[in-house]
Amino acid sequence: MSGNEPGNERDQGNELAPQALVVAVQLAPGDHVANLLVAVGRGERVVLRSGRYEQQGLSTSGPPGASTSASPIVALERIPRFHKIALTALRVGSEVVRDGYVIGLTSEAVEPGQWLHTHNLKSARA
Amino acid sequence: MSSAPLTEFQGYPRAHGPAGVRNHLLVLNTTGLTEATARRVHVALPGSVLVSTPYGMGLLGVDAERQLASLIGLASNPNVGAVLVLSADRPRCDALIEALKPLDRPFAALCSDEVGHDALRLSDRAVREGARLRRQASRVRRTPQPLAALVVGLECGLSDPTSGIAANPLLGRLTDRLVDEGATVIVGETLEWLGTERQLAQRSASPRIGEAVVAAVLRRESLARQAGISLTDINPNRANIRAGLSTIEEKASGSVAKTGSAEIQGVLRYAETPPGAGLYLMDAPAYSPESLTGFVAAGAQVLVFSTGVGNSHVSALAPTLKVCANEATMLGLSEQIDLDCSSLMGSRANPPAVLDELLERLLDVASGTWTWGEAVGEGAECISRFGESL
Repeated sequence: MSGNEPGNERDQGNELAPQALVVAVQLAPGDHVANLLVAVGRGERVVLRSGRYEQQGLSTSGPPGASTSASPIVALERIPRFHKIALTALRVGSEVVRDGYVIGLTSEAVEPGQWLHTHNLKSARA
Repeated sequence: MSSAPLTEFQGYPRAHGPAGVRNHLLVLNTTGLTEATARRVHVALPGSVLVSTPYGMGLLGVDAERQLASLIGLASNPNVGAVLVLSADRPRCDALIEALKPLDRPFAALCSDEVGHDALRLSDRAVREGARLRRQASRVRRTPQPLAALVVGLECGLSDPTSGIAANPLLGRLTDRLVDEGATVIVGETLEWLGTERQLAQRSASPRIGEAVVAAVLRRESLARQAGISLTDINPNRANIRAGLSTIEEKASGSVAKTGSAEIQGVLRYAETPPGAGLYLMDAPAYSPESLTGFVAAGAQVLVFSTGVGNSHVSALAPTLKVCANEATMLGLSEQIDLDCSSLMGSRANPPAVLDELLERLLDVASGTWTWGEAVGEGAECISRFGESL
């Protein structure tokens, strides 16, 4: 992987409503994380778009298992573009699933809306 | 978009095996000594495809075996309408000739030792023979073929964050769709399974296949360790981490997303033809030139190749569709990328429509429409090496 660095600016091509909601892609149902398509600041609301090919368009559902919730996830901190936002609360040592694959274990407890990266997500393989 | 059902393409029927999507005259050079002759013959026969190996003598063990399997596989690829084999000496191409005989495909083999090692006489004979073969091959006509006749190789090269978020998951859904239709899909790049091998093993059709997946990863990891490289220590690298990848598992998951959710039917050796339909993994190097040739020698008629920042390499024998989800790359490489799927990175993406568009483009290319790589004249084959020569 090389090339485009994650930027802090908003995605140029996004046609979002005036009180823009930040969009993140949850690739597979049940994933604990979503990839942000634009950078997000603390307190900003993030709506999920399903990466599922059976569905279309935006979904405002909350974390997996709480699909009835109409409220988007609120980012608890600044998260760069393309990085991962937690969709669900995870205890320390929990498996983290993205696109159906276990991508590592949490090294501390994580709240929905937190940034999941090398500071709190460790490889189980290394 | 046409409303035709996405289940057929127009292909060249072959007496033995699945239909071709192209009808090439292959100039297949099998010894380094005859490389210049082969080049001369290829130039004299516009439209021919040149595939050349620079080796010939002193290959050992797996190397000798895979080199021959690759040459036979390339000559047998359904996209080949006729084969002109060139070699420095007759005994060296006997095995290849024996393998070509049952294919019922026009071919000729010309060797330096039969013309007193005179490269110009060999060139003259080869051009005449090639012209005859090409004319003979031109008699075949495209006919409707089921999607199930396709063997599709999937690759990613020069990836970026859009690859793991959009382009490779799209290829994964293509895999699932092709497998549902009875087609065959091959995914290689063993190194990039590292971290997801246990989950891939769980998706395998039998425990034995699952063990082969894990063993292939561990073997390549140990090859790297013997060379003083710890793959888990250097992955993800600093640029990967800045781009948002946290672990090696996450990096691998972005690549193996190409496999979709289909059951894994087997682990192929380099250039090995899949014994049936469905999803196969090929235990092979990750570098695109070697990797794509492994797929084509295994019988892939068409390849789909995702890239993030752009990658111009394509196969010489199998049309290679370039797919990209990075809008900026699309703008810069308008004569390289065949399918723009950057809408998948936007807020209003319609993934099912993009998948239909990809499948439609794939069938269109299978039916004869050129890829950018073909139009621009890119294309090479490179047979992998496995050890030292004597």
